[in-house]
Amino acid sequence: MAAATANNAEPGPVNFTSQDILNEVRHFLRGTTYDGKVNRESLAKSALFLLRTLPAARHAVLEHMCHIFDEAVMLHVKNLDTRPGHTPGATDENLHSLEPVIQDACSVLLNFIKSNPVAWAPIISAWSLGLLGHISTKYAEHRSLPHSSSLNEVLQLWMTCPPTKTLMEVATDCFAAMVGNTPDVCVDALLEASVQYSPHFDWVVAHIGSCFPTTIITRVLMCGLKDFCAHRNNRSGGMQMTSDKKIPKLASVVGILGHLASKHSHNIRKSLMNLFQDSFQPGANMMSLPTVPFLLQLASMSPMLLQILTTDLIKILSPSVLNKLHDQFVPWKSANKSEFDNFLQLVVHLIIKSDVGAYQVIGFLLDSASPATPTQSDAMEEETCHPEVQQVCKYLLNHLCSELQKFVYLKQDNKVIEVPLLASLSKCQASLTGDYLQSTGQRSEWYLKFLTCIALYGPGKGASEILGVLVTEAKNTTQLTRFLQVQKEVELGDVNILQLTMSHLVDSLQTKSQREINRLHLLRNLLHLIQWEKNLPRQGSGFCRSYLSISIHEHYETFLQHLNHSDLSVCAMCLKLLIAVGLPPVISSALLTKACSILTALFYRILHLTDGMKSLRLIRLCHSCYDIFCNVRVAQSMCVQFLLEECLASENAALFGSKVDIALDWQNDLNKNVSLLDQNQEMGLSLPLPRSHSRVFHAGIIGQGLKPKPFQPPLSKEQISRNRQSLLDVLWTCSYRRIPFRTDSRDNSSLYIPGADRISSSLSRQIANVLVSQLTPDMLYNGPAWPDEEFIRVTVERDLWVWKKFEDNPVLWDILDNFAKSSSVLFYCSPLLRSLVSTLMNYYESCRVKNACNAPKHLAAACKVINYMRKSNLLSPPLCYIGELLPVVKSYELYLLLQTVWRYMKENPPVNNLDHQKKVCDPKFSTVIRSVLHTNIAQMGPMYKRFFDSLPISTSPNTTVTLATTTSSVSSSAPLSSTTATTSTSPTAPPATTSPTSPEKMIVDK
Amino acid sequence: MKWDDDSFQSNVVAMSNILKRLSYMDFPECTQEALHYLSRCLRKEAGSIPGLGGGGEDYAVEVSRDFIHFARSPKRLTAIQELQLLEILCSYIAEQRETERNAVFGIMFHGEPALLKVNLLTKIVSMAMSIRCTPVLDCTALWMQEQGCDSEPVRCMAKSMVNDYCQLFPGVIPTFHALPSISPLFACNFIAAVTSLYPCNSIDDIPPETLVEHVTNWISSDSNLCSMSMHPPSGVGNYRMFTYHASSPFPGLTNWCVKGPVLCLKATDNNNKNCWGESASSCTNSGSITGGAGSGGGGGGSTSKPHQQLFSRLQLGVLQSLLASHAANGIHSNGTSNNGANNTPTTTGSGSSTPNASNTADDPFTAADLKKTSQELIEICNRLGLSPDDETYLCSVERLGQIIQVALASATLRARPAQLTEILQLLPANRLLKLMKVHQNSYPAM
Repeated sequence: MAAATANNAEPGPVNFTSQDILNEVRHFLRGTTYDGKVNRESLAKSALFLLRTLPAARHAVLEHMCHIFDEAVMLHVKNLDTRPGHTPGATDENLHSLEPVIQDACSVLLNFIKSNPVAWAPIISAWSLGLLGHISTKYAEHRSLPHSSSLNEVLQLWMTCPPTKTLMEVATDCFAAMVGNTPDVCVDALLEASVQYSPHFDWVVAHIGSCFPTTIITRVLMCGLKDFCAHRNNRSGGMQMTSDKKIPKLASVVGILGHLASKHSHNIRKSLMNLFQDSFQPGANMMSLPTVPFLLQLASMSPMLLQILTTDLIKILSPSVLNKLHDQFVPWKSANKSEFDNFLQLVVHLIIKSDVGAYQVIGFLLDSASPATPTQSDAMEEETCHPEVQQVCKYLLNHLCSELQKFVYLKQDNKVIEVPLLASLSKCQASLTGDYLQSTGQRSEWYLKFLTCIALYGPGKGASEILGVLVTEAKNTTQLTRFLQVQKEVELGDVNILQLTMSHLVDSLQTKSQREINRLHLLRNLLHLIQWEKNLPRQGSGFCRSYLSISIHEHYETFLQHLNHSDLSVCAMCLKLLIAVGLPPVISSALLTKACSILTALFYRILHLTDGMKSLRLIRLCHSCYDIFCNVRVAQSMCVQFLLEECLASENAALFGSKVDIALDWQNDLNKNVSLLDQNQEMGLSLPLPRSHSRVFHAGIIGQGLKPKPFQPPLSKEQISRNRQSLLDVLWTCSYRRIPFRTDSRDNSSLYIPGADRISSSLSRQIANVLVSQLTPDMLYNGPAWPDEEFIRVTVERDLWVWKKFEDNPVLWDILDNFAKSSSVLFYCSPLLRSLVSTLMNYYESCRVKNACNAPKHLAAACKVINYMRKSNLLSPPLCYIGELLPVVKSYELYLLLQTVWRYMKENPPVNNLDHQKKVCDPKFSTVIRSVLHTNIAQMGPMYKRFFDSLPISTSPNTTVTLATTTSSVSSSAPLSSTTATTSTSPTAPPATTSPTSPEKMIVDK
Repeated sequence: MKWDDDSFQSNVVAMSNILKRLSYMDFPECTQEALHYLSRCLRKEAGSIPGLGGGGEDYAVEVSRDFIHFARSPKRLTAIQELQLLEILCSYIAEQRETERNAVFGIMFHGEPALLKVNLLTKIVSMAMSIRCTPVLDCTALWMQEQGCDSEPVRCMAKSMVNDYCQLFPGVIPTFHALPSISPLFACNFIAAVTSLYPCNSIDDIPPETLVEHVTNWISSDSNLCSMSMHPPSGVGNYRMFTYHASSPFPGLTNWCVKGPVLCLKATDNNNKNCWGESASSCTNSGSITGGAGSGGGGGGSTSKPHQQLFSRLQLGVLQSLLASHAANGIHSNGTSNNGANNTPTTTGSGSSTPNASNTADDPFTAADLKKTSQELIEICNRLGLSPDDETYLCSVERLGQIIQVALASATLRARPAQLTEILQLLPANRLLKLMKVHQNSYPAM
């Protein structure tokens, strides 16, 4: 039967008369209204007949079909229910009997669609959609059906149900037929059905939509737009409706697009953009005006669409497009001000809600509000926005800012409000901050507001990052003020922001590998800030903010470490910063130690520089830094100690013109690759000799060739002198301090001279200890007392050691000179002096040169030593003046003079704090001087007064006697010695006999 | 609800009988009972003295409203029930005698054209057309004339018919083809309504091809069909005085003949949604239209375009109908012939002094109609960018000229020379028109 009815659909008209039709009508009515009398097949047959022949019966027949489908679906659903129980009953049979009926009906309908799509497709599609909606709503609550939340499941279920599947085929065919000609109609129907059967109809939309994605998307949008326009016109004509219910179709548009988004998001994107661009076509009509409001309305209902707008639309909105938009909007705005305002509100709302592409949106707004900088104006001449567009953008920005601030400050009451815009912006805050730095004028104000909001919105870390970027990237002071602005704003919301920022910065300073930041820059900016901070009025003016210096103090160590940085300019900048900040009020001794050692290391690094100016500049900085450090006593002593220790270290010694003895470098020996085989072969050939005296000679080690001579690295004289001077300066600064009262009161020496710098006693001991321990081979004989003269013999090797040290490191003389003013230092250094004097005595005792000036090195040394002793009051006049005699005396006389000094020292052992004690020289010590003067009266005549003017010679007669004797003895021996010195070849013979005698005599006299 | 209160207060006693009784019944029964009641009312009225009938008629109107149109029913009829209602009504009307039939129909559908009424009527007409129910169609024809063929309800009905029979079921239903034989008056009014529905002013206004075919066939097969509405309907008037708008299909058909081809040309070019595109798209655009149209006033020349051919046939039909109308008029007005140029159409018009003077005052044509047509033609051609030399354009002008001339000759058009000159000057020059200008003085009586 099915085949028969389907086939004679076309030739049908010939075979019936009006009476036939009437009969069929009656038959049909009998079947449908008094059910049970007519069997289902014949009823279906007459229904189809009427459908094909009687236009007026169309609705009735379709309604009848609705019942049939409904029944079929019901049976199917019942079947689903009973299936688990395996009780196939009457429902199955009914279902089977309905199937051919449905098939026939559908084939007739499909035939209609095929033969006359224009006329039939709208009717059938409306019918099928309505029926689908009805059925899916009716059975949605059925327990065996899944809930409509999972669209795919629902789709699956209905598509496995034969009646709905058939219906769906019909509907799809209708769509296929209509999509070409009148897509609006079908999509309209779809939308209406979707509105009517809202959640349960979604699967239909999804299915049809996925069959015709492009058309459906475009058309759905168009329909939505049309509806939107219509409602808008209504609204503007009549009363203001509540905004929720005004456009029902819009919700379903969004819903449909939402369904299709998963698979056809590309199409949606394209359609949206096309829709937008079409509104600018020259032929655009009334419809085009509300396109943008429509798009925004859509976006407000679906985040997915909003995302498309923010990413794609923004790209399109060039100034020229904006100008066109403006032209479109002008009449609207003037006609309906409040609506336009609402529109702008919506824009702001959407911007706040947007998360993807937020950065671009903000950039776009800013660009439009205040267009490109004048430097680019040539290229962009034709592309500038209309002033009014700019005004609107400004309005939007201001509004946006105030809205954001509202959100942000609301959040302060522990109420977290999600602001997607801020969340998204905080991801690209670094670039935003960069833009802020580059911005000028009003733009920067907006940036400031945005950044403040971002900073306050984020979970704490954002703010510090923003500020960190600001302070890192700022190129000049105006950019740096941006930091202060942001800090000021953010501090209102977060008090600890500066500390957080600083720890963030410190983190970035410490992590080297990740991203190399411009340390120099950062440090300079910090320095600027600190300097600015220092100039602030400390109190009053209501200006309250946290201080950067305090934060830097907290991270002092990190900054300290930058003194080790390989780039000296970084070091210098850091040094400046540290100087500006000063020492933290509370600092651990460990850190202090570190600070001192790092600073010292830096100092010596600087000395290695060959560029004079540069090094001087840097040295000055070091100097200031030492100055600050040395205000703390512990630091002071450490600084001095480190400085002294380092200056003798092998890598630094050369800086001061010292000789470097390579041969002593045992490391060389160890590093050499020694092959055991070679060694063994060597053993076989030659006598194995341990490294012992028998093997080590002055000239070197047997088997290793000649010992290399100690050499002096090729440093210019200026550099050496400069270095020495620098070192001495620093040492001076560090050691000579104004001792504050506190320490003074505790100090033994109650004498305090205001305005004079002096070395504290503890420091002087420290200095001396360092020097002594560095310059003496062991700790023996390091007491301050001078032993008996004979003891020189015992300590000769040790003295030579000290001598060699001084010889190799000329800077030591300078150092001693530096401290010579302080008697306490020299008091503790007396072992060194002793060794030097003894070495000199030994030398001159056996010296073969006649005049002392013929051995300039030793003469100079002797002069220096005497000088130091004079300066430090170790020697009292007239003994202290002998330094002036030395260059002109004979060697032996020099020896005698030194001997006198020794004796004097032995009798007047050095005491700490001699500074202002007047030591009186015993007259017996002046005897030698007098005799020397007498001997060389020709040269020394003018000096005599200096030695013996103030001395009351005549007061003690026995001294004069002794003096006379000594002078005679000396004078008698002096020519002797001078003659022998010139003639004799053996150094020891005559003076050796005479020299011991005279001191002995004196002792005896005594 | 408000209505309830009023009615109950005024006629509580009288109304309670029938309305209450009916309100307790279910659908098919209540309608059937209502129809019985209507018949009873009519019979009573027919039997009684006019004026003393006593209120029965009033209830007839209310009964019809409540139980035939179900205007007050909270529940709408389902589509199947509606089909049943249609069947009942058709059978009922067919069973009545002519006078009663008209009266019942009048109670049901005449008067204020409410939407419900028109919808139901539309369905009844559609049904009646399918099942060859002549009485219903005749009654409807009267209703159409009452409303006027260019009124909104009639156009609505006509559109629905066109939709049913020309678009949904083109060529399926034999009865539509044979409409003039079922109810000539309905067919005539239907043509008038359809031509006013599709005035051919823009591409959207073009009638469907099937409809044009049907109309052409109808008027070609029966030349008198177009004049049907000009004659007084018989057997009316004894129940209620209708005011008839005897609307003639000629002006509308002229529109079709003249403007249709031009628009179709454009429609086929665009190949748009109009159903004309399908048949014409295969044709080449070479047109010897003027030759075809001019050779014998249409009648199937050698044009290669089926639709141009169709319009030619329509033109021929119109011309023949005009002549036939003259002949018919002549019969009515005691044999005034159509061959004398000196005969005065005025006399023919006023001379047709049938007892119903109300409708013969209407002429099938007026000069204003023709002027309007020519103006619209020019406007369309300007809009479509056709030059005055275009073949289709010239053809249309020529057709208009033919119609004017035949109308003048058949005395169906009455126009003063000034009016005629005005029309002729509007149109681009043409050999026929020139001739007419020259000879227009030969119609001195106008």
